[in-house]
Amino acid sequence: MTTDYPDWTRLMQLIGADIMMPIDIQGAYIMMPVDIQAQYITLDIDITAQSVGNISIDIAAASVGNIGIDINAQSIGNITISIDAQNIGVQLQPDWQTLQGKQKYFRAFAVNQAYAEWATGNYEVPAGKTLYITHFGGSCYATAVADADKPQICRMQIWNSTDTEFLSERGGNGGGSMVLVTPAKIIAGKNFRYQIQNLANHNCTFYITAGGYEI
Amino acid sequence: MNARERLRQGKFNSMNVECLPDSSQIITLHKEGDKKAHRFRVKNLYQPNEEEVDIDTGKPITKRNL
Repeated sequence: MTTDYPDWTRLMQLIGADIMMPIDIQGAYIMMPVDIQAQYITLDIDITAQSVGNISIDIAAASVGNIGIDINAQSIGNITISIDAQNIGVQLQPDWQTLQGKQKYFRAFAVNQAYAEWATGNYEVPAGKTLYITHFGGSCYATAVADADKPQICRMQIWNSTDTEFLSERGGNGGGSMVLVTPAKIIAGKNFRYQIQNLANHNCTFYITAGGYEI
Repeated sequence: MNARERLRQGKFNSMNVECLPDSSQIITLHKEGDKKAHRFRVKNLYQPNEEEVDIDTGKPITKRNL
């Protein structure tokens, strides 16, 4: 039927041991309070709409199975989750992306280089991707045995070389490492440069590694 | 897809760069689940004059059988 419908309100109360109730509602405006009390519930909700107001879900149960939430929207308000459970597993973003195979590791090295020489790696972030660097580190050691006990000074830096934006630097004797509390972000089309420089007054071999994820 | 394209498209999990005295670099890419790594040697990566060179000699790659 193609005619417009007047406002329609109907209260339903269903009582039964086994109820199957497919519901297909299409309307310009829908308000549907639902209160379900049951011993066992399987509840699939698929909402397709241009705009969705508040969604409140309150689950009280002795045991809850998997809760899969997939939200795809241009903008999302606050998501507030209050969980009171004996045991729960939550993956932080770096852990989750690694689980999904989105991890990225970078390493550059040079062998037997003189004072002030660099080892440099470059990676241009592809279109549609964003690279997040969570840590970097490196090592520097004398190439010749005679220099092994001397200071092996080096410095490392990671930066967005497209915009000459230095993200983090680290110096040290023999190397060092740094975990970035706030991941360094490099957006698509920008060049992520990671490099280490020998600042010892003798030839050294040196490495830099950096890691994170790209989504 | 060759190794350079893999780098361009970010289809790797680890990237190892060996910096060589002639300023060229041997880049090795690994991806989780792949059975082999992908290597190539390049000069001036991401520069307008970027050039892939022979991985053993560092000399320009010549077209054969022309």
